[in-house]
Amino acid sequence: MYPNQRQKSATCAMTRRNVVLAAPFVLLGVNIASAQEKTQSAEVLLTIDGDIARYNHGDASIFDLALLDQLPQGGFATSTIWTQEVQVFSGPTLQGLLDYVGAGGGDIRARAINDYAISLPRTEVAQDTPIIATRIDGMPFSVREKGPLWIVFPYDRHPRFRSELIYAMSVWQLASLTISPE
Amino acid sequence: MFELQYQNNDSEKFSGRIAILISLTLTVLGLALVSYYYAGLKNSAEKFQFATSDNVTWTIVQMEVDYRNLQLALARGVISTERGHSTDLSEIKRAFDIYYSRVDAVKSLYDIAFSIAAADLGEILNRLSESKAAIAQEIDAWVNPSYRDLVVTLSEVDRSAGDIRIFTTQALSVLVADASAERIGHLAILNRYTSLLVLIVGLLFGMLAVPLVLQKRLKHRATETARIADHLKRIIEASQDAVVVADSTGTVWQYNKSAHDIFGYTPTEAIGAKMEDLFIPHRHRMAHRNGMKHYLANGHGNIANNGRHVLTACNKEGREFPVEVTIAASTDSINGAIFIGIMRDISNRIENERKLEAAVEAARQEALAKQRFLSIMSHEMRTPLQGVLATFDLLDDSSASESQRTLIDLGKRSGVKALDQVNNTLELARLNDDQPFNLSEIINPAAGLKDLVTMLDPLLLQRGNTISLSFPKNQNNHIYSNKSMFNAVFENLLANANKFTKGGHLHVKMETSMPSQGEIDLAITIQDSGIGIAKDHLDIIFDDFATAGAGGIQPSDGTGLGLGIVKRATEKMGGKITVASTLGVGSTFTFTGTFKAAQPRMGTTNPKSIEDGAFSQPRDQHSSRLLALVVDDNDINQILIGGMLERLGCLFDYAQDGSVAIEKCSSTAYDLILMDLNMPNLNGIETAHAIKQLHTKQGPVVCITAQASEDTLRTVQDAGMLDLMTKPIRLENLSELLKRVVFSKRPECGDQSPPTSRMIVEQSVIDRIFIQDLIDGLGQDYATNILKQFEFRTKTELKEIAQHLETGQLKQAADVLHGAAGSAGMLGAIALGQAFLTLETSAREKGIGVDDKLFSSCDSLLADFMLAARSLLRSS
Repeated sequence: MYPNQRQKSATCAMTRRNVVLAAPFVLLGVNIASAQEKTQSAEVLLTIDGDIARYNHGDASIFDLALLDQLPQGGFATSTIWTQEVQVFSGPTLQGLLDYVGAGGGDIRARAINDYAISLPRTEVAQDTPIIATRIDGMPFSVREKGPLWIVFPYDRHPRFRSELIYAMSVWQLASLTISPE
Repeated sequence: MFELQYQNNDSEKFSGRIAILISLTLTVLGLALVSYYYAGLKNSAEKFQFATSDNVTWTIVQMEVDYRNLQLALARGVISTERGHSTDLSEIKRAFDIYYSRVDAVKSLYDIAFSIAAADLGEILNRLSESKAAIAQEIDAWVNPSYRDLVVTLSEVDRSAGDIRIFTTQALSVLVADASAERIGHLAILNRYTSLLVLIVGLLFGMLAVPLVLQKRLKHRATETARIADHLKRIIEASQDAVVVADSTGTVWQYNKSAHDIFGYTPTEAIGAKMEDLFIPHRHRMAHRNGMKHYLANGHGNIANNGRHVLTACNKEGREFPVEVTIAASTDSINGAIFIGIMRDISNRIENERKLEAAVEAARQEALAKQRFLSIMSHEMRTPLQGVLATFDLLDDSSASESQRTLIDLGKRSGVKALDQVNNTLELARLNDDQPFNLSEIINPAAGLKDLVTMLDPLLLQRGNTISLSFPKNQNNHIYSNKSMFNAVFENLLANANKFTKGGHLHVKMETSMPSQGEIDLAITIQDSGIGIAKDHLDIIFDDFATAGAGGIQPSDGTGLGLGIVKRATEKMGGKITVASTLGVGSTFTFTGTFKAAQPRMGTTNPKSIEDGAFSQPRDQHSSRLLALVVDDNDINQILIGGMLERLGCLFDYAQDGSVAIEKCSSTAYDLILMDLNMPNLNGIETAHAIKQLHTKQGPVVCITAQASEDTLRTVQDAGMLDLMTKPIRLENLSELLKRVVFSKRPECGDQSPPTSRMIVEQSVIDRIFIQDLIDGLGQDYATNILKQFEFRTKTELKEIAQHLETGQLKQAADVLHGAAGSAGMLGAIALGQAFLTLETSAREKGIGVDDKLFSSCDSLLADFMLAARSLLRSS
């Protein structure tokens, strides 16, 4: 089902900062790599419906990895309370995604694979944060690794990303987003 | 000095500074603590925020849910495969993946969030992780799992049920406990923080107390100042002196009631006006302005802060009056320099002072007038008295009868008494006169006393008294004092002692001691065994004109002035006179004094100074009251000529100087002026000229000179003088002159002494004829005295000359020589006179000097002269 099992590279020879810097290039590489693989799977990772303007599947907009990779990307290195060490998260910015689908200004209801659902207030969505992480350390990650999509904030960057609300908004195993009407 | 009790503010400043220091320290400390606690608080808050995150709780709870979902999915699969339906493995796989990720998440959270080491929870998590990993392997290996495979997997999953349950409940309780602990900790910090803030706020409030205290103090000080100011104000208003305060521009801004009274301006008029316009007369204003400027520039001045000054002020009407002013200058913190003037109208005081001065002056003048009157009267009275005495003398010859003799005797005694009184008055007048007198004559008290006692002999005999003397061992002590004063004192004391004692005894005692180097204490007592003095008279006997007699016994010749003279003369000498007496027993007069010791000079035999007293044996009968003026700087000459004139019955006056002569001539008309030619300052010729110019018509002027030549005569006559007379002047020559020149209108006058043949006198030591004439003409006493005086004088002069010659002062030597020559010439010491003249001439000519041999011969010439003179005296 999944393209790869992410291999935890025990040999973290690269410093996390270097990783962050290298991320765009890595992303590009991965993009290209996964693009080839995508031709086979084209699995829907994310469904967006609600108050949107672009549809490609009924009244919703669906995305696979390839499409997600084409959107404006963001990334950062951070640790989280649910993972052990600092990792580089990369993927399309939420704002970019919303812009792509022509979403209205209302709040966003995020739903995970396990039906966990939460409303993301629009005010917490900035230009570059959060991102919908598609890759950790340049590699896609499985459900077991809280993938394939994870709304991530740069928790280490600033104390405001370490609030209850932000933690609650950090939906892993993201399945769908519904834009509420304003 | 007026002191104000006033607290200084140093202690206040000090406590103020302390307060500020404390507050600063506390502030800094407080801020430090606050920031520390804040940091702590923040830290804690963050941890708090993190630890009790709802997310953690959710995640843990959710783990059980996800586990149950996995169990459910597997159970459904088991049922489905048991019925033979195809199973949807994706559901099971998804559930497992979700469960799998959840366990990982919990594990991560456990490491971060669980502060308390809940070790068993960790173990459970490990077991769950291992189990999960094992099941993952199984599921991943599925291709087409059978019913059996699913059952096995389910039973494996079931094995974790217990763990899941325990973990969830325990973890939650741990979390609660943790949370509570955190909360408590946080609260504690919060408490500490709050209490610190409260403390700080309290301190701040406390700090408020400081300004309150200060304010209270200020208020107190203000009241104090106000009180002091009020006191000052009252003092100034009550003051009887005008108090005016002005600033540095001279503008008045304080003005008290007395100022109003004294100057007349009302406060409204005065305050704001310039001081100089109000109080200072126009002509003084410039000086005032300059004074102020000077003070302001230099910080000190003549008048400000410099005591009392008497100035002239003017009041509102412009009337000027004297004021006594004190000006205190000070500085005012606001206005700069201020001047506080305290003024007093002293017109009255000045007026009183003036009156006092006038009164004193009037009294002085009166006393002076009295003196002069006394003196003149005595003078005037003396001459007639002398005449009276002369008359009695004339009557007293062999042709007088017994009864006549008695009368004559009485007359003579009365006359003498009267003359004594006159002389005493004169003496007193002289003593009262504040004329300076010479206290540096060298006298030998012992010798002087002895002389006086000797002279007392006839009087002692008269009264039948005896006298004894006791002197100290050293009778050669000499002192600096005044000879005539000394004689006046003891003559009078001795005369009194004799007068008041009859058939008794007098004792004269002299004691000396030396209190210190160069000083001699002298104590002379005159003791008598006479009638004594009553106790209540003792105080007044020294008063003028007081006479004391016991009962009806009046002493025969009480003059009443004697003791007055004694007292005054004693005081003038610097001594003290005291008396002790017992009525009927006797009296003791004690003279004490301290005198400077003197070295005896050679020849200090003190001839009794010639007094203008009565002389014995008037020979010629003259009744003319001719007034002559004798102008000669040499007093021996004066006395000699005067004596002769008197002998010839003339009145005479002296002038020792040309200018004095002119002065006298301007107020008196003299019948004859005898002028010495050689005088210092104004000489005879010049004086004669001057006198000729005077208003007052004078009689003829005859000059006296040693050199008589044709030229001299002509010069003299050209100057308006009638004739000249050569030294030595003889009585007969003078008499002849008088007859010729003055008495030509009075043929009855001008009788002269019988002519004597003139012996041819070669250049010898003495003009015998002249001396003999002198003795015959003026009397032995007179002649003796004058010769003695001459001798003494000449010896002194010789010493002086010697001194001057030693120090090379030829001019001074020449002057003295001139005088000495004059005297010698007058008295007929021919050789001596010539020697002096020669020496004088040579001394005056510069470069020659003086013949020492000639000079040293003068001593012997003088001695020879005196010897000869004395032999003449003895033989007369």
